[in-house]
Amino acid sequence: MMIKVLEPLGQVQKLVPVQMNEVPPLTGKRLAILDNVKPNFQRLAMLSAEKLKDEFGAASITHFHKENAAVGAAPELLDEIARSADLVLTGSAD
Amino acid sequence: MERRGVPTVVLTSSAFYAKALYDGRSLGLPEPRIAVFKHPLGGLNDAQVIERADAMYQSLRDALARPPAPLAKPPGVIAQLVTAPSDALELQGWYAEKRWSDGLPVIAPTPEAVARMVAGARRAGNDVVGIVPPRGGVATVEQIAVNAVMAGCRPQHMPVILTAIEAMLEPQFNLAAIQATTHPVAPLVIVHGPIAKELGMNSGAGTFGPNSLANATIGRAIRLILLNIGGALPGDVDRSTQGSPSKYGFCIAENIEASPWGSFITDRGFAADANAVTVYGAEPPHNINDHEHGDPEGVLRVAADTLKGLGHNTWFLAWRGQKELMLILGPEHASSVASTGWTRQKVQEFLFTAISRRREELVPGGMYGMRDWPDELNQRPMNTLIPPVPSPKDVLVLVAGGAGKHSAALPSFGPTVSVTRQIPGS
Repeated sequence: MMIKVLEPLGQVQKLVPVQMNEVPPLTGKRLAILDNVKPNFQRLAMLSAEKLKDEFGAASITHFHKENAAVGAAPELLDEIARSADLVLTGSAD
Repeated sequence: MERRGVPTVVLTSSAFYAKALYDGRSLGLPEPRIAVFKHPLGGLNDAQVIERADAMYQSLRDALARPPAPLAKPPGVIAQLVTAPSDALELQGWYAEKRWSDGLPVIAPTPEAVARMVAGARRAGNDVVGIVPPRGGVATVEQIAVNAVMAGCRPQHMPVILTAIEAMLEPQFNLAAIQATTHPVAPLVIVHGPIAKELGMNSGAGTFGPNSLANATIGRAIRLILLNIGGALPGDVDRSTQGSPSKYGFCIAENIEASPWGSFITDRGFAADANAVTVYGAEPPHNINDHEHGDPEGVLRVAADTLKGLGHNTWFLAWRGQKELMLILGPEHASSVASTGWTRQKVQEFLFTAISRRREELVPGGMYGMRDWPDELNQRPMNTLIPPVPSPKDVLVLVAGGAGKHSAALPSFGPTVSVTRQIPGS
């Protein structure tokens, strides 16, 4: 025997999907790190960005950070990074 | 950043890959670029971090080389009616397999039962209460009612549940982070006003514990909503390291009759007899046992010792500069504290000083390197006092529980601010 029940999850908000961007050739490009402020992330991301700079000839590396690890980056910060970077490395979780 | 036109790579650990993928998709990215390093990163020495970076580099290069994925299709409407086993025991296994429950037995949300629950809300079933993160689930009154039926609620509980969810969706509550953090935070729901008694809520002995249908099922409904509509599945999206019993249900009523200062909500501009709900992102209760003191200073010094633990997030993290701690006094402690005429405000001012610590005591704290203090605090000498919250009013004090010499300290998640909302139409 079966019964009908209403499923508990419901719809997902209809997001405007994001078209991901092409990664440009990195020669002369500006790299940015958006630090999630977790321990050791800044060091890990900087090491990775330096490797990219050395291998592909990126022009610069700029470091940005969130207010703290448990708060999303403010829109103003994201706007600033968008104006000053061609590729962003960021972190998620620990 | 992708929405702003800048290609972005997320660096994450092997343990958090699924969460990073989920987060990206929740933001509308079909296949976010992710480079993975071996978990963990925190607690490593510099040589180990270099090793992680070296080992991750190929993963980073691969992420950069991958062409952008095609646009994701907008998510569709999920069919609401599904077929389930009618046998009560089989039904529980069915829910567990789908990960649609908290692991405890659920009541079948048949269309008839859900309709009765919606009627208790006194709102239309298709009213949208809000969007529950991180899944972005649309919390209609009806969808909330489905989870309330599963939790065992009565229809008259619905106004409390709806008000609590609306309060949690205020930005300053920071529900997205509360749903996903490694911290064991759960939203504590506190019901104020005559409605608590009308619903048979327990504000007295054992208020945090079992046996009250209203406390238990309202708290459980909130959790099922966070799990199902919000998508906070433990181990996948809810990354709480150890979880917490308070993630099954965390709902109490304020014991206003035993409070020397009347209802907590009067400090927030509500009438003393208003029906309201406060939500507060809390650790589980930390017991404060004091059988020795009958004076305000004595009781509050013991309470302060529990409130100012070095492992609490509150020391180091805030929501846009705001953060709180909560002390829930048992009635006997509250009576002792008020015995010489101390007001709630005086209690808060005393506690604010008593819970402060010298800066040098905080340096060994587990999140000192992640602190988001304002510059003014960072300039202070090591021997000066630092408060864990910005002002005395941020030490929230209320009364709940029954006879006995116990109270509860509830440190918050840190970057969250409590919200109180009046229950409409009550």
